[in-house]
Amino acid sequence: MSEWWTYRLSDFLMFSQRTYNRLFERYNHDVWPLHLVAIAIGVLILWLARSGQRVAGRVTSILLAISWLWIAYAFFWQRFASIHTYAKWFAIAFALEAILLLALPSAIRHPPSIVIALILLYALIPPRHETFGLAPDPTALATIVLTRWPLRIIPIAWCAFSAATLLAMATR
Amino acid sequence: MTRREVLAVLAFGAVRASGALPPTGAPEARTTPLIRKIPSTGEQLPVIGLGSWITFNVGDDVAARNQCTEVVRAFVSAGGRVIDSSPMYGSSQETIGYALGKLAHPNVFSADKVWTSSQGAGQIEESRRHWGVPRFDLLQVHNLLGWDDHLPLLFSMKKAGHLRYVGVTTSHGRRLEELEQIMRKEPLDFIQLTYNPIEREPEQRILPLAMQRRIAVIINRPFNQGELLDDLASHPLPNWARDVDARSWAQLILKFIITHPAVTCVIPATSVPSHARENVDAARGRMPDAAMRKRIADTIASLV
Repeated sequence: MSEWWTYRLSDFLMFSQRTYNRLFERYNHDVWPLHLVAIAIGVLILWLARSGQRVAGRVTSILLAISWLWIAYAFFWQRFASIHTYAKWFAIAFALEAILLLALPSAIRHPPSIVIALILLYALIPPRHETFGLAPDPTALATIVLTRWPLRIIPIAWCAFSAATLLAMATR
Repeated sequence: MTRREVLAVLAFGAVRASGALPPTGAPEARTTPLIRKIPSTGEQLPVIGLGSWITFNVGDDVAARNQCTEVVRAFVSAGGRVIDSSPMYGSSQETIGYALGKLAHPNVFSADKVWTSSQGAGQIEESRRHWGVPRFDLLQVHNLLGWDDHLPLLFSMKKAGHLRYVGVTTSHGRRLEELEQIMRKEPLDFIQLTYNPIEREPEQRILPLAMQRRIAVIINRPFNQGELLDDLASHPLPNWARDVDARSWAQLILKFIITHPAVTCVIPATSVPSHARENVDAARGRMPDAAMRKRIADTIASLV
């Protein structure tokens, strides 16, 4: 890209905040009551982290992988792709993270329960009500605190992109 | 500046004398929207068009698409014709196609772009299907990306009757030197770039060259993606804006832009039907003369 220094964050924003909010509003409407299943998965991960059982790491990695695969397909491929040119690449990255989670269960760690609980409460934040297991931001945040390297690379990259998007929308 | 460019700048005065700009000190009210000719053919276009960056990228949300349809309806019924989009604008092309279908395909001037460096013909055909038009009126190379590959394709399409006009675009003062080289070298019908009261660099070379080379000019981002209007929102519109029949900062900015004689059309984007109507109305009423244009630019530059 030539004259890259002349570009601002907002130059890369393809949609309005209103459109982004509507996307989540319609997504939440379409997939309800899967939110209950997603929260149940979150609570199960919370319990596993506290239990210290030997299978906890394996089960947590499988539950996270299911969440990442779901978001890759239902959110990025089916919905976000309608407003973002590169959404299908995000879908591929999220599917790759799911594979990595299944391949590296030993990279699961057990953070303080309060951290996971706070991420589950992310769903209460209006107007998008992004729910762990269904929406990319809380799922990526949970994965960052529940895993070690290299499983944190894709979640951190997504969080950086998402933060830039939210910042660009807030400053528009 | 070459001798011919000097003559083009002098032609600014001639255009004013011909009535495209009112004589200094005696603004004349227009009841019909201002129109400009495309220099390469003489075809007339209303000077206010409609952009679709961000505002029309609403995905498959039917409620939002219907809202965009109302924007197009307001724009067309107020007398607008030029609608501009790009394959880089997400679902904007599909939204335009949806609106045009709902409105029984009104007589619009379809302006789109070719973007990526490969498979230009395939991308153009996909864009055409999204719009639902038999052919595009204007295709432009988006942000000069791969222009040396794309222009031969666009010129061959024009020669074969599959396209009416060919152009290139840039924005926010980027790659103006390269744009100038292309304008000198290629038989372009249109260029598209950013120009407004606080981004006036095109006045130095590009706009005079466009007049000299008889190239139509589309102005994008007249409000700097809305930031200009956001910055001005806290300031009252000066009383003297009434002297040119401007009822808002948006109309004052649009009147400033369309009264540069090199400008053929400006394409503000909006998601609000009443704003689309207000934008088109900026081409009615009295227009600023040179002194008023300077006053508009100086005032806005001092406020933002």
